[in-house]
Amino acid sequence: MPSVQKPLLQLTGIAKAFPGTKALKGVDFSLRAGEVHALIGENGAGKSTLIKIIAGLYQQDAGTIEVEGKKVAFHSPADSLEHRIKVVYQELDLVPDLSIAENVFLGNLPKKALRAVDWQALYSRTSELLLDLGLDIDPEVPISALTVAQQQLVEIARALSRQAQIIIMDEPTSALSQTEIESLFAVIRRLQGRGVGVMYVSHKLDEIYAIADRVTVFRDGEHIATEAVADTRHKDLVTWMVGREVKDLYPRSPAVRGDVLLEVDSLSGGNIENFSLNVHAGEIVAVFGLMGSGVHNLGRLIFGDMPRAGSVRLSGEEIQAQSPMDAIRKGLGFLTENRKSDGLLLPLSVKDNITLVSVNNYANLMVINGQEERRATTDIIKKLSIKTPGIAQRIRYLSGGNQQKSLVGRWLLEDLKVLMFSEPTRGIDVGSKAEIYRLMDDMAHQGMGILVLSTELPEVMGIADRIIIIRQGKSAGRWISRQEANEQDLMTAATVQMEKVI
Amino acid sequence: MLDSSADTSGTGIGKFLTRAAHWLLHTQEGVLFFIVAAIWVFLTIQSPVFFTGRNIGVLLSQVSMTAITAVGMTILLISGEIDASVGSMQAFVGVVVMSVLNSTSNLALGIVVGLAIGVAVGLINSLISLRLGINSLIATLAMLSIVRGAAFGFTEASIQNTHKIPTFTEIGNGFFLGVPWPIIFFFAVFLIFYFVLSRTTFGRFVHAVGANPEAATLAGIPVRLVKMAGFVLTSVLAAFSAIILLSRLNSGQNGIGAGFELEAIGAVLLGGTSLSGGEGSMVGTFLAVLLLGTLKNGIVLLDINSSWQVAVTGLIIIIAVLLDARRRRRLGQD
Ligand SMILES: Nc1ncnc2c1ncn2[C@@H]1O[C@H](COP(=O)(O)OP(=O)(O)OP(=O)(O)O)[C@@H](O)[C@H]1O
Ligand SMILES: [Mg+2]
Repeated sequence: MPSVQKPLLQLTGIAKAFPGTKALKGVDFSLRAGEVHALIGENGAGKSTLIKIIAGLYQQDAGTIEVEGKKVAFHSPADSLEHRIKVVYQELDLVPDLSIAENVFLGNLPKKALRAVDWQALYSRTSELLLDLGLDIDPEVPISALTVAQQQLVEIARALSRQAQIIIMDEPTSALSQTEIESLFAVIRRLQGRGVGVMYVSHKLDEIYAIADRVTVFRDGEHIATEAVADTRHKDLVTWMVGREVKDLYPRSPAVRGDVLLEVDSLSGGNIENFSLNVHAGEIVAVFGLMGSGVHNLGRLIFGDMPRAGSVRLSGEEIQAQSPMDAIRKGLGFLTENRKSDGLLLPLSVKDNITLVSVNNYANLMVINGQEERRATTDIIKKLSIKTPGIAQRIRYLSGGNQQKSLVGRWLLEDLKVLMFSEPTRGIDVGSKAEIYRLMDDMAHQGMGILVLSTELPEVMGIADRIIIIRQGKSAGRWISRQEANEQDLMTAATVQMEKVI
Repeated sequence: MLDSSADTSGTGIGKFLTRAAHWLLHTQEGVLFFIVAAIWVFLTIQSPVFFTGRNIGVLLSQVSMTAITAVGMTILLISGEIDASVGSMQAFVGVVVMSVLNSTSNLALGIVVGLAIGVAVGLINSLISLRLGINSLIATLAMLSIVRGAAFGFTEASIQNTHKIPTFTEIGNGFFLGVPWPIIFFFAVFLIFYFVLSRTTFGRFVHAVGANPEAATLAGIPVRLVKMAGFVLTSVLAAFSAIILLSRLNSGQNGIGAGFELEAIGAVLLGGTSLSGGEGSMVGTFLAVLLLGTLKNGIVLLDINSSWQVAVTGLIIIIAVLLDARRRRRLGQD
């Protein structure tokens, strides 16, 4: 309903600098009632910074924020909440040991006389909110028992319990399955119908087309464009974001297939049963599965981070179970899908994070040669265009996508035979994605074997020479070659069983 | 993408001054340096005795035991663990070493036995914390009592020096080129482990296992081994402190060292090492120990009731925790 009404939220000329970085250089953004307005841009473009300013976590250096036409100043998250703004961060901030209901009404519990909590009201009101979001679940269940998607809905319920009129989501779908994404979209549409304004940040452009009315593009802290999604071509979005055309997202060129490098035989453990695969030199092999299919556990099992049965050999040598150290020594690397919990050393520098695995290579009798280490780090930063004011910057201050690139870089410095990537491009922008796929292609041409574990179908189809599907911990069907692969069949093969179960 | 603000090695004097100012005002080391310098200036004005070679020698010798233990504790805290048992070690190592010296008159043997106790207790601490999975604060608090019990079990009274080995007395009271031996030990230990922590792969791994043990494991780092090394190192350095203390006191006392663990841990925290692991500063620890010694020395020089010396530790811990909270607030949500 386009009207003469004042926008719900109007940001004008917002600027924010950190030591060594101008994150935002005077940007505008507006959100109307009942619209979904997407914000996209390269890694480090300033999207999350803008969100944190709206949330009251950071204060802008310049510029104004208006809510329903009135100028406001947010000094803390409480100020922002007061104006009925709710941010759903990617790292959800729920209390895992409390129940759903307690989390939804945290700081806002319904009370009876003598300030006692009115449990009955608490549970019934939570149930109502949850049902409204299509979540039929006992409100007394603790948060720790929920999936990420369910937790996200709890966050939204929390927003609704406070009658939020502005809901902001920062990369909400990166850990959700396709069906979960669709139900999230259904919820967003319902909120939209009630006049809630939704600001939506994502690197997945197809989602923008599925859910957003308008889209704004930032590049390097500057506002590049704001357009109606219906009038905007995919190609234009990419060009606005990256500043150039990305011609070849998947630059895979056939390489010479050499000897077998990685042999995984009847692997079992976790929810994985009897899984076998092999990777040859010069190959990019992908395992595709839905969230929860075991595709991520497979990496941990092969790498020896989980107890396992079955055998894993690299160039014919058995890799010890439960010893990532042995795996690396024999030439196997593993990029995990969980960058915060399993990858990043948040208090350490970008340099220390990048050289974590390879630091022994720059050391003599344990003494690190600082010059060599710095040179190696600088090379990686250039190669992956990691945006940082310097190699000594603490990695916690990098944007999400740049943190991810640093973790990719960590494995490029070690001399490996096979590199396993679990969700290699999670949170990474289109331009950098192409860059990482090109690196994979290079590595294959140099005689390495690449194993990609992914829930992203386009990625799998674009980059892999052969694909196998994992479904409920077992391999579903035969190997599919790059030529045979088609989206419909792969999706069906990965899904069909699941639906029967549900 | 790499631009030049955080760590270029430009040589302009202006740049140097900016960086020095940043260090002074914005880092915990800088703030500590500032405080220590201010108190030194104050004491120099207040007391003609303060800034004399003799008094500075006394000041540094007095804190050398705490300092040596704190060096190990810094590494242990960065690795995400802690050792509260170092206080009782002062007593237990003291009584055992003195009785070994008395019965064998062999200085080398006495020292080896003392350090071996350090290794053993460090291994037990790491075993309880890492194998049995008991939080290291709880585990080593238990060890604090157990080791104290061992000291009391070993002897009911203090053990006097009956061996009269002259070199033994030198350890805590002698001079080398005019500098007291304890200060030389203190500076040597500090320099060695400053280097180990900042320039070696072991130092890097210590930071990594403290920052994120799961990520460290997946990077092929032997997490338990690194932490175990931290426990043993701390305990051995505590034993070394105990030997110096023993020489200074010239008798093994089973009740000595009460509160010593608080002093060492407090200094490490005040130096800017985080209780949550992964970050810390050896220079900070050095400055914090210096502050501790300066306050104690000042209390004596200004003729304040010397019972307050004990309270200084408490003060240090409160300042440490306040500074830590301030730093965390500044880091904010990421
Ligand atoms: N607290 C901070 N201190 C210093 N620099 C920061 C801080 N927060 C963000 N930055 C810098 O500001 C810039 C913008 O970061 P921001 O997180 O907003 O990017 P983003 O658009 O969300 O990127 P991504 O898509 O990778 O999540 C980056 O260069 C980042 O390094
Ligand atoms: Mg971001």
